Amino acid sequence: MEKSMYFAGVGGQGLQVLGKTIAEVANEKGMYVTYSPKYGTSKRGGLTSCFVTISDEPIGNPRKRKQDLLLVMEPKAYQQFRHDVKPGGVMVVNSTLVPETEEPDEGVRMVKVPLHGVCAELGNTKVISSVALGAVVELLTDIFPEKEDFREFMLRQLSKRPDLLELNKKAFEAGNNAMLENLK
Amino acid sequence: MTKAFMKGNEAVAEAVIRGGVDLFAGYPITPSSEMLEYASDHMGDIDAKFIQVESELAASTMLSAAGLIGRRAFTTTSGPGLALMTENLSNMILSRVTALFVVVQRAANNITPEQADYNYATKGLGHNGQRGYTLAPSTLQEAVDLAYTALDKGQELECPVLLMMDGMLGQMEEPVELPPYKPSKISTKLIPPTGCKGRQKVDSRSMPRPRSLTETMEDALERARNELYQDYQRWVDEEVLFEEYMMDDAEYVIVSYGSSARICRDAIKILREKGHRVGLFRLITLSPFPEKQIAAFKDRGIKGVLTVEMAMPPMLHYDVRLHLDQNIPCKFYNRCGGNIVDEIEAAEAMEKMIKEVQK
Repeated sequence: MEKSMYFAGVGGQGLQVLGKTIAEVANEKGMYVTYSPKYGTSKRGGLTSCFVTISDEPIGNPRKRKQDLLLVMEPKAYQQFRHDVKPGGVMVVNSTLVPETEEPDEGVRMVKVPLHGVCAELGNTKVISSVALGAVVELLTDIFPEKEDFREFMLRQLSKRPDLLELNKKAFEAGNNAMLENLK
Repeated sequence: MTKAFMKGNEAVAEAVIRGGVDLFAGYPITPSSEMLEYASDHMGDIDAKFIQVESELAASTMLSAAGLIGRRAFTTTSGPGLALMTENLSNMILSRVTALFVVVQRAANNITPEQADYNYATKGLGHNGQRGYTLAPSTLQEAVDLAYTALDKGQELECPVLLMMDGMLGQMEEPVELPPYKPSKISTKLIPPTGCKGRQKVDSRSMPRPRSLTETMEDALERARNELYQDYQRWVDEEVLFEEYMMDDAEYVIVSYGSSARICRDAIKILREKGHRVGLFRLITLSPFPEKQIAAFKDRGIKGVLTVEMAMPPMLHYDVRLHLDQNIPCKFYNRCGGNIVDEIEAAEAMEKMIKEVQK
């Protein structure tokens, strides 16, 4: 079993935090895991992405060309990477920023979730990584049956910032609910 | 126990610190800077010195000075910075002084990964063309293990040690098991050029002096060079490290190193699924080069070799061809400029060669 994931968008959309959280949880579970970030020189606004690979044996390429799970946050990433999903894989599209999409490749399931829309409802776009995490974990139940593991890890990371705890908890739930709704 | 989930650069810095070191002197350069940052935070853990110097030349000068008094030092840089350290590297190798240089290779002006410093690191460090001890890990655990003992090896072999990482290994994160702390040690082999307290004053080994009235200056230098060469020949016999993957029944071989090699493991799996008997020969030491093992491919019945690296022109490729039996076809599949090699393309390149051989 090997699961390759790619999260792509622009800087400031919480993709590195999202990828790192999934990778760290996999490590705590004792799985083989790699996390490989890819970004240019710009801190905000430049194309940024990260690859996460989880496996039950040593991992070769940490940056697979075709993904089991692809998350595209914005139009440029959608256009550039939308053909990079394996047949049988899932592509999650942030429908707030990518309202118009074309038919996905054969055998690829496309799920549209308004991630930034969820943030707007919460009144804070900074929690986008928690929203995205809540959404994505719903698609990882084959390797992580307990969604609670992620929430618990996130809360542990935030233990030094109790003021942000409640907001991120809400964001995780809201992201998760949005995914469940759109998976139907 | 949960393994530490660390960035390559940070894991290597931690491993060197745990292995025992007295000084870090360095100048930041992407994609190696996290190692310098990490060292600035953690050299204090073992009561060692950290200096962020004004230039790469100063960094290598300090490393050289630390080595001359038998102390252990390390730095980190990338290709453009390594070029600036050349002056001291040349001198260190002639003086038989050790230090660890962690080179996180990048694509020259771009900050993306490449393996283009192979020739520099293996063909002669600077002028005089002498070789150092050059290691290339392909996973972070291996990088940690090699970095932990690199300075021990350097003091044993009396030469600079280069740990050749690349931008991908340096920036990626993977679980690692960190070894326990061990103390630094002062080299007992090294004789300082001007004499230290309690030690005899003798001349520097970079400028060897005649040992007798009949030995000329030229003779002395020639003797020193021959000694270095003999040492290298001994390394080829004794110090070569490599790993074989699915080589037992292999008819075709991919030869690679570093992050290219870990990607090739996937290529081997693809090719094996299609029924091709392909194995991977992965270099761990680039210098000394596993020349005897490559030459032995002939006796193992290998029908074709593909080299894979992230560099253009091919570099490892020509070393392999030099030692491989000339009747065995040898091709290369390389990517560069920051494009990493791809397991599917590597498998295609191998299949193409297999078809040509079978024709």
